[in-house]
Amino acid sequence: MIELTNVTKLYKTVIGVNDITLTLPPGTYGLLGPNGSGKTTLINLILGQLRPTIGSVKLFGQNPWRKSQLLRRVGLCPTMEVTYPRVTGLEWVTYMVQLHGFSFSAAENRAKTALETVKLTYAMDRPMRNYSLGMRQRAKIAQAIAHDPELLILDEPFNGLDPVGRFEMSEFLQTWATEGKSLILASHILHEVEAVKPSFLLISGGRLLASGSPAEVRDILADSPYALTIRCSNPKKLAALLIDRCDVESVKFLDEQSFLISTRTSSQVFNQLPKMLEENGISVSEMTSSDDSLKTLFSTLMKLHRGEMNQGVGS
Amino acid sequence: MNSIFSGVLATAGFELRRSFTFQRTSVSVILALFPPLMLSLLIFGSMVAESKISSSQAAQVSASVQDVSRLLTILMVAMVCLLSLMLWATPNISSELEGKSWSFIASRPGGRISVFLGKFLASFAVAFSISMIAVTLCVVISNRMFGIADASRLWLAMGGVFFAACLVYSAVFSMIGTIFIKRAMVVAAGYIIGSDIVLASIPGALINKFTLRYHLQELGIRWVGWFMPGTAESEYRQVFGTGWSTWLHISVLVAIMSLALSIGCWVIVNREYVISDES
Repeated sequence: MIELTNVTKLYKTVIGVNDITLTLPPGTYGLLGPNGSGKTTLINLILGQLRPTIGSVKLFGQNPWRKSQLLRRVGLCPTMEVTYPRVTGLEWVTYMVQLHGFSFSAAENRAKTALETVKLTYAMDRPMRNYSLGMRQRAKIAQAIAHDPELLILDEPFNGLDPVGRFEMSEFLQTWATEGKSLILASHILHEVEAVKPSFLLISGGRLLASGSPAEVRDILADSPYALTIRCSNPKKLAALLIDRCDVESVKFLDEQSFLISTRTSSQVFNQLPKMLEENGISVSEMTSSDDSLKTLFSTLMKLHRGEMNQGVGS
Repeated sequence: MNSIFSGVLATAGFELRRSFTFQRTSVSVILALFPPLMLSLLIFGSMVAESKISSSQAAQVSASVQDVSRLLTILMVAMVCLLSLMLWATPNISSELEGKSWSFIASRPGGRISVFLGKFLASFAVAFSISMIAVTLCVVISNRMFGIADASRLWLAMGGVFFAACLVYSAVFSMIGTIFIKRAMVVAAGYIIGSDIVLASIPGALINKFTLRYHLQELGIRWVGWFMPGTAESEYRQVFGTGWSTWLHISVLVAIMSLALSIGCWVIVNREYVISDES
């Protein structure tokens, strides 16, 4: 479906995307990366909106640059806001579908169906200036799916959605994926993407740091630096046991009941911990990770990428 | 091709529907009323002057005002036509880029060309409507005050000249809008001053044949009649030549319009438009 070979994109002297080689067969993909990591540049390269400085891009087997007919098979929901305040949601989505070559009546029917799919029928005749951020987000999704594309690309689709909206969006994307259509979901929030159960593409600083299934990415993370706060009945004894049996970098007692350990081998800690607790009769009331975030993931991957850590990368 | 054609019409329709806002309608109304207002002021001023002088002198003033009124109508409507095109045609791409709606449009098959040509049609429609309202009001006022012999023919002739002017200037300004994303209006204004005011006024020079004003002025002289008081047509012809046939002037304008639209389409298809809030 998508093939990138040594793709580099330079904006004058700034690197947008740096030497990415990637083959994506039809499927569901989560494109993860911090803000400014090159996700949007990568999407624009895939869609032929940008021309690679070096390397080649293929979409459905063809170079997408100046082949806009390929876009008939793609639905894009960019991160940008819709800025037609006086236009109604239905008018805008209808116009967007008309640009795919549909007649006005066919486009309007498709727009109504798409707006129904994203649960925006009740507000489709209202001017978009009266829409909340979440409603505008739904309208954007509607314009992306109304022409029934084979590949749907969503750039930060959860932005502005309330918890119910996020749940509905996840549900919609899961349904989309189970219908056998392809999906690329770009986000900087790991758990949002995880809900759709995609294969991950992890990008940072314009480089593809890793790709693979959630399990493969978890394996990469297993031995990454990890900070863990444990609240238990006997923190001093548990801390001593952990120092004795695991590769613990530091221990800091926070109060009489809890302590913070930092380790490079979190998998070892998680394997040993249940046995230690059982053997010594220690009960744990709370265990939290202070840095279980995308930032940690990317800092780990960057270290792996630069060879500062020994773990192999999945890509 | 079919999708581009329907996309062009869809864009033109969408843009025109979007244009019916209080702000944009007010600007259009002000532009359309400006030439008849200026003409009315001229006539009113002459009437005041005539009341203070002898009847023979008053007849002379009235005749001069009648001559000047035609030139004033053409100049004022031309100015209004160019201003409305600058407001509508030149920001064709920059407005989409600044409004961040470019990503939605550019991700459609033929979306770039559809938007370029659709906005060209919409800007033409708006500018021509404004120009024709202004022309109609000016002709009605002139006819009421001076009793023009063939007012409907004059209206039609001016309509023809402004139809051609709106089409060709809309194409040129749209092209400027695709090439110069920032300050497209300034470039368009510079083009008018440099080409249609400076170059077109160089007497006897070959270069003024490449300006839009030369060809439109020639069509105006043929269709509307001699409209430049203070200069005899023979003197003008001595300096600027006899001109070409009407069809040749029309062909040159059509060629310039086609060239401008082709360049605009080429630029918009081949250019990488980078939207600022990269993530």
